[in-house]
Amino acid sequence: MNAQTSFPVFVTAGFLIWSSAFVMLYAAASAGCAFGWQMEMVGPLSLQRLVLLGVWSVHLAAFVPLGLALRRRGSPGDRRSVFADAPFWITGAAFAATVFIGVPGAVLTACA
Amino acid sequence: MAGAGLLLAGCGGPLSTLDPAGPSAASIARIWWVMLAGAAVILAFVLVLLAVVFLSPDRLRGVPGRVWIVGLGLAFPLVTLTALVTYALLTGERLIADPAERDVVTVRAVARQWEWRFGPPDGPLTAGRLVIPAGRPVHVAVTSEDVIHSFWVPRLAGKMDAIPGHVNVIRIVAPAPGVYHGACAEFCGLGHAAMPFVVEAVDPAGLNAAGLTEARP
Repeated sequence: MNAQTSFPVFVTAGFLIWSSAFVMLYAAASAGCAFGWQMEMVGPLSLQRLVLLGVWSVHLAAFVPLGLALRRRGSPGDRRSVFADAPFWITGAAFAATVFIGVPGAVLTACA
Repeated sequence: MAGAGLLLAGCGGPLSTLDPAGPSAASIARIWWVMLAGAAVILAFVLVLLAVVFLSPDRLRGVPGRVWIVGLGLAFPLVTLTALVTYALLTGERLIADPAERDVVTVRAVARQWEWRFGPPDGPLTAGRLVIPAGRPVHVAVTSEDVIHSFWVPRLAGKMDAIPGHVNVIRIVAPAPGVYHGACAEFCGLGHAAMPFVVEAVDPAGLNAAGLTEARP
């Protein structure tokens, strides 16, 4: 895959991971509350919290290979246009957004 | 002035979130005031910038593009919105009913098209009127028999969805005896607007007379 054909992949990959994290965290939170996972303890954590942390961690981990692949393309600023650096900045924003949406599930009360 | 008077007239009344009667509703009203104050400051800042651009265009010419795009376009809204979300989430956390809370009264709220019925956990239900002891925390176990409704007593607390087959619990406290009005806050069909109810907070001595049980002494 050359730089031209990989461009759309790198532009969209980060926010695809984010959207998957958002949908799966939402689904896990709802399903967990419906099935009472918040009352089943697994060590110091509830099953609900464990599932949410697991879903979140898997999605955060997915940014590692993406980041490595972006690094192989070169650092931002190496290229001649801001547009060419877009995958780097978009992936960074997607990573920050994925961190952001997982924090409530990690620290707040899961079910009302 | 007349316009402001008309607008402010909407801040009162039996269903006003800006006239809180309990600690939960007061927290929610505080968020609203914080957001209003913050939005007013930001609006004033933007209008000042706009005025400067119109009245003295050369004054801002030396400000680098990075300040506008990165500083005011990205960093400023990110910091502001993150602070607001954090404040709102922490406030919301304090409103959730803690199952381990002591000295609390538990009641049921069951919605259906188009009425609310209330009663003790295992007792009969009464339509349209929830009786609670004043000055004590009450956990309202909210559910529905048909579609999704939402339990809302604006002067006491936030909203809680009533979902068929599922029980959500909301914590309310009415500090003083009185009547607090409630409404369904989730559109549930053609009769949605016609399912109001009242929460009557009575002196705790009247608790037994109201038929409520103390589920978690």
